[in-house]
Amino acid sequence: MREKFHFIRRRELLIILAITAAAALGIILPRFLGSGGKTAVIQYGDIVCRVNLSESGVFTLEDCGETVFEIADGKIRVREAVCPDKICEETGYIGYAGQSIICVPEKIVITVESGSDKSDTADVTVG
Amino acid sequence: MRKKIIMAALLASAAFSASCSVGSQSDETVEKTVFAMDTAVSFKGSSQDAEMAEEILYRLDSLFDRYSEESDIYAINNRMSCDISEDTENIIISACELSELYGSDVSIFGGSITDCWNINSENPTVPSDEEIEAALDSFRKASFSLETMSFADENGSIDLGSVAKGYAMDKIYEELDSDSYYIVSANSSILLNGEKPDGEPFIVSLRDPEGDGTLGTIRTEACFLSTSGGYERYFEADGCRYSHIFDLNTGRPSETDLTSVTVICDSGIKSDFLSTLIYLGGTARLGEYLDDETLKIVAVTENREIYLSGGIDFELNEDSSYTIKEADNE
Repeated sequence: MREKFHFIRRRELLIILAITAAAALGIILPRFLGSGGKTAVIQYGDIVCRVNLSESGVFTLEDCGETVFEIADGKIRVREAVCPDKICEETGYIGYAGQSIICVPEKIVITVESGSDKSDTADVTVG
Repeated sequence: MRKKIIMAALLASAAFSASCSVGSQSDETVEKTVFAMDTAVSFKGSSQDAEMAEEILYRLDSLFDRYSEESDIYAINNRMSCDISEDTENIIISACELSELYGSDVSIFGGSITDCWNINSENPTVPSDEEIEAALDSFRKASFSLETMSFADENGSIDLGSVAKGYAMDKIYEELDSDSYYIVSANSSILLNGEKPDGEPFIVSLRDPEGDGTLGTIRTEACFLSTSGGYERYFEADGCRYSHIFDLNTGRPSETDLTSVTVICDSGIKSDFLSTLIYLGGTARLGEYLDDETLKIVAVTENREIYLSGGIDFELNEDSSYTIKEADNE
């Protein structure tokens, strides 16, 4: 009886440890691995949305107008713009950290955040 | 023992804050984006500095935007009498001084040519020869008085496009704490100030003017930096791609054998002005600027060669297929 009680406690402890370890790995691993962790931030007024560039697809964002975004090969672009000048659409794909697509009429900024290429160490991108 | 517990607590809290700060900088550093000067201007620095920079950008934008009926430039261009702000006077005077010093190929008085091409409209079209000639005529006959801040007659129109962002950088530099660390980027014009928290030089990545990637990186101390190139903005009509930078001699989009010019110097308006001027001048006139010790230049040709000033710390992106052109005269 006493043996069994002890066993259960130990199993509970193991489960707790396992959960803790998994949680810790979940937080720490992506920070060190970096691969597939390249993200882009889409800003639209006060709305800030982070998207994973390893997940290809075509999408629109809720509360972000009719603008259509596309992610492919670790890069993102504005596939269909609703603004008159279409400069954002003409910018094409961006995938290097620090690169951005700006739509002045729609007030949308897309910026690539982190990745594994050399330019990642840059503080700012010009041009 | 007590010390050990405190240490453990500190370590634990440090680990916690590190794992939870994804996407944001340290406590004091904020990142903010402001739409002004016809682009998105991003600011990285203290929240107090960010607020001041935002206020300056909105203030200058409302004065300099030639399409806004409330602006000083709209008033001047439409021959309305009104009080002109000190900032407007300053930017006009500074731009005139730069044109006198370095050449009038870049001028703020070519607004009639911008209007004639109407590149901000929904469907830009190529104007007729007569329209271009009329716009050129208005530019050439323009006579502006710095005393009264007005044009003498109906000729001439101001477009601050070539200097507004650079001037905004100068104002931010002037009005913010000179020691504080911050980065302001209006994409083609950048201000790097103070010292980075890690004490390392600033690293600026240069965009490939003809592709998606980067040309390379510049390592620099605090400075003003501007880039000009046809790649930032252009429009297409009749199957041709037209640059947004106009040649004031021909009244047409510029034709140059350079694809991008970056200038680092000690003034925002000067770096903005000169990057456009050097870009327009092409490789033929590049030498005189490369020798100027007050400037640091990265100039990129359509043959994918990169010219560098002496003393600039530039690292080529090996994957970029560009080559660095060694100076001939050495």
